Amino acid sequence: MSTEPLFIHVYDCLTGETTEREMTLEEVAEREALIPNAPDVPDPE
Amino acid sequence: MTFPSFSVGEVLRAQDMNAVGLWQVASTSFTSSPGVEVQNCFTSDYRNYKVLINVFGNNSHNLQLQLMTGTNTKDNAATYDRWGFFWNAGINNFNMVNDTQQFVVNYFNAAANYSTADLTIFQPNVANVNTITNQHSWSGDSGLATWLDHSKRSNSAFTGLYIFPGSLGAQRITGNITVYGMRNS
Repeated sequence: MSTEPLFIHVYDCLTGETTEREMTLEEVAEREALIPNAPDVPDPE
Repeated sequence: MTFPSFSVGEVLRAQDMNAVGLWQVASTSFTSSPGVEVQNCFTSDYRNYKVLINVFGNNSHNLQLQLMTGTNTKDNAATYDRWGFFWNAGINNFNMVNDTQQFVVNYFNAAANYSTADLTIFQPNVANVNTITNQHSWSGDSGLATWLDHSKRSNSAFTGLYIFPGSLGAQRITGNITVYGMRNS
C-alpha cells in the first residue's frame, strides 16, 4: 500500500470548483483491491 | 424546425439548452494525478452524455473508469462488462465480464503521444439502464490503434465519474476531461 499522501483531482459541477483532496485510507484500500481485477488489456503492439 | 432565440444577458436554463443540443457540464485539466473525480455531472437535466478524454501518464498504463453515486461513492460492484474489438494490423475480438471497473484506454508516457477516449454514456442518472459505448485510441510508439467497446449493466442512478490509472503505486495521469449533456427530446 502506498505510504505517501495521494491527492485526487476533483471537479464539482454544482460549484464549478476544482480542488485537490487527499485520498482516505479506505479509498486507497479500495483502489488497491481493484488492481487484481484490472482487465487484461490487448496491447496494440 | 424553429430555432430558439435568447435575449442579451438572459440566464439560460437546462430546458433552454436542450433546445440547442450539447451543453458542456464539466471540463477540467489535471496534472500528475492518481485519480480524477467529476462530481455531479449526471443529472436529470440531460438524458445521455458525451465524455471526451485526452490523457498520458508518467508511465505507460491503462486508464480505468468507475461511475459514482452521491458525492463520490464509487461503484465497486462487478457491473462492468466489455465486448468489442480493436484493430491494428489485424482485427481482434475480446470480451470481459463482471469487472469492477471499466477499461477506458491505454496511455503512453509522453504528451506527444497522448491517448484519446470518446465515451457515450446512456442514461447514467437513471437506475438499471446505463450503457457505455467507448471509442478510443492509443498513440504509442508504433502508431495508432483504435478500439470500439461496449459496456452495459448498472443498478444505480449515477451522479459522476472517476477515472484513474489501472495501478495505484507510482502511476499518475495528466490530461483533460470534458463532459457534455445531450438534449432531452
